[in-house]
Amino acid sequence: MEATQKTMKVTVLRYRPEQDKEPWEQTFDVPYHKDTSVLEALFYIKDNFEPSLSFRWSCRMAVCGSCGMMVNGVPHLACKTFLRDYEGKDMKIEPLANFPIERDLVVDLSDLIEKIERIKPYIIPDAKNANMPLNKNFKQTPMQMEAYLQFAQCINCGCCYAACPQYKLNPKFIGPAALTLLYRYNVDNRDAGAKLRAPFLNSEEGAWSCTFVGYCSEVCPKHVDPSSAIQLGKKMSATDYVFNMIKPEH
Amino acid sequence: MSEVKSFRKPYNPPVKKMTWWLENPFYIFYMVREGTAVLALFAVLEILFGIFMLALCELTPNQSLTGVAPYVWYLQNFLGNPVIIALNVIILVSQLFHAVTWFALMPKAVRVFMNKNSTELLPEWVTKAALYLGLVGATVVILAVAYLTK
Repeated sequence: MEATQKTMKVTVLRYRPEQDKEPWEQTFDVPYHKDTSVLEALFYIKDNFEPSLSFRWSCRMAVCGSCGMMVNGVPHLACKTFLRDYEGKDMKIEPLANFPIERDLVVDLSDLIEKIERIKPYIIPDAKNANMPLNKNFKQTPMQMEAYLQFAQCINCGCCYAACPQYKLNPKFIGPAALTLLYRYNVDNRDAGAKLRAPFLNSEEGAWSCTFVGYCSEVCPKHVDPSSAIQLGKKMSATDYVFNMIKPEH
Repeated sequence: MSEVKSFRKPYNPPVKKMTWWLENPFYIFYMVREGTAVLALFAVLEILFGIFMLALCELTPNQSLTGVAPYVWYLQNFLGNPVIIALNVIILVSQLFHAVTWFALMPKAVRVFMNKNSTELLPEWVTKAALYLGLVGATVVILAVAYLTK
């Protein structure tokens, strides 16, 4: 039994830096069935209508974080978003908001990468464990792992930055993903780098620039809940402030 | 080394500094939630005004009504004004809305494990229930004091 093929009007924002002054819209009729993802719709457009259409992708299974883009104004991973959920509506695909558009749906994420690097997203052991032999295990209880595991699910897709109005208004804001990773490493019991990360957390551009809009947690495709991590980061920062008043380090 | 001409010309979409929040229902909801603070400010000014009027009164052991005329005016003419009553009803509704939406967010700032050996987190409803209990408790105390000192 052959079901009749449905089609959807898919509008894609195009931008070709070598010839366009600003982005423009191009609409395509894309056939789809119940498991057609937005990414597959883009493949269809590229294969059948516009070979020059540029977009990032890699794993097709919500692991690599390459295909973050705006679908009807909401940040999504294209591979994890399905046309069936937009049945009866038109679809508009735009590059991830709040980032400079490089070409078509490709944005420049270097600001996000720089911020993630800045907060030292790796385990910094204390002096005692710094030279631990590689064949020795660092034991961790299930609870110690649970403390950070949810926040370690981040795939750096940038959807939370596209959702964040504070980042939109003040690009200096360190932002949801980087602050979440900062918290993730601070609460890892193998890590002793909280003091090195404190200047970033406590700064004006750190946790305190967040006004708890909460949209980052709403759109996160990995359910990391960045807004939770940032509020917990604020508590960490406030505690740090009080302790520094009682017992200054310098 | 080959010379390849770069066509890079990153496009920065313009930022609507004043109207960004109109773009998304989620942002509108956030602005309404935070906007209730303006109405809370009015409630605070109202109470301060009452205290100011009370300070204008002459308090004597044998209290005469003329001595407390400013405060009586505040109670009857100011707070009794239909416009102020309507405004106070709006403020009450807005502050309840703020409480409900704020309590709904608070569990995100609480991450406590059930006990020392558990991987289970304190359920969200416990945090919310504690906040609602606090709200009801404070309301009961204020109303009780108001009733007992009538």
